[in-house]
Amino acid sequence: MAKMDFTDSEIQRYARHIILKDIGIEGQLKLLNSKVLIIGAGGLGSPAALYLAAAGVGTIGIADGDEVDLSNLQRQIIHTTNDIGIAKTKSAKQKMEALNPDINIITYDEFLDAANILDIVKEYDFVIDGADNFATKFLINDACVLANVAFSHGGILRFVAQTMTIVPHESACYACVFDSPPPPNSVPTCSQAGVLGTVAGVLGSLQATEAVKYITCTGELLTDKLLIADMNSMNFNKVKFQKNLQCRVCGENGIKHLSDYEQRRCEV
Amino acid sequence: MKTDKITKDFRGIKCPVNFAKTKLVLSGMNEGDILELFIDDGSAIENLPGSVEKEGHKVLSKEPLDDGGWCIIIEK
Repeated sequence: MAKMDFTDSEIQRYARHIILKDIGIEGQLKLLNSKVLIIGAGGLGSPAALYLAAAGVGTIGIADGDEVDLSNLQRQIIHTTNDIGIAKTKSAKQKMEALNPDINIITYDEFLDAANILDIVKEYDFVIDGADNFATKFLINDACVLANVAFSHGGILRFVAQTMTIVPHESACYACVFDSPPPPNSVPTCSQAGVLGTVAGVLGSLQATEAVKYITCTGELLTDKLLIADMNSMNFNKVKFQKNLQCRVCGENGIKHLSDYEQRRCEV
Repeated sequence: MKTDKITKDFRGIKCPVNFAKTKLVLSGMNEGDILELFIDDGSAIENLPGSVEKEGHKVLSKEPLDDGGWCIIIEK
């Protein structure tokens, strides 16, 4: 049943949202009644999961099939040295529950693929793409288009981050902009090229901001625009795109079912 | 039209939680209803009346209390 009012501790916890024009009482109730899925409990998923838990998103799903590794900790701030070797979903859930015990956290301790993603995605209001490889990024796009669920795409490499919000069938989808995964070895992976940890923190926080704005119907979403943020020069640029009517995913003759893309994993 | 009056004592509740609670009380009231509110001296009386007015309500009066707090009357 939808939540209609606040407990005394919720008023204290969310006071700065409740007094905030454009979020307010209604916006906070929307957050408490919302469901967001975070795919990837890594560099992007870490800040997104923490901020969305703090914001009181009522149900947060978090999907990742990996375990915490020492080399993750330079940027994946939801995990600690003590978590090395345990499932990332379990580690993330512990931190989110410690931050906000009032929310419901659902873990999916598996990598998502064409066989399982659609049933999971369709349970949520918004999805955050914190995946570390092009195959999963395109699969998330396809699943969200089929399930008609809005999502935030995000990608990082070296000092550069890019993000775009997709409202399926209304705005340009990831495939309208990029069509399909780049050929193998045409784009360096994070493990080849490296990534600044804080770049992940900035982008995951931007993605969480888009989730909050979408849920609360606030502000202007980053739809039909790709934000490219070069944090070495601090140049933030938005490139405009339009929905492609012939898009192979969301166009007139778009996809009707899911299939996996060739997987090349890269640690975000 | 009949107007209701509600009294709330938010003394001892810090900013901005006192304002969040005031917003919630006002949201459950009808246009023209009166809220009599007891709040602390200091940041509460300095900030809360202005914040309430920015939300579109009228602060009809602000009276100091003997114990150092304030009583403010708000019309929704």
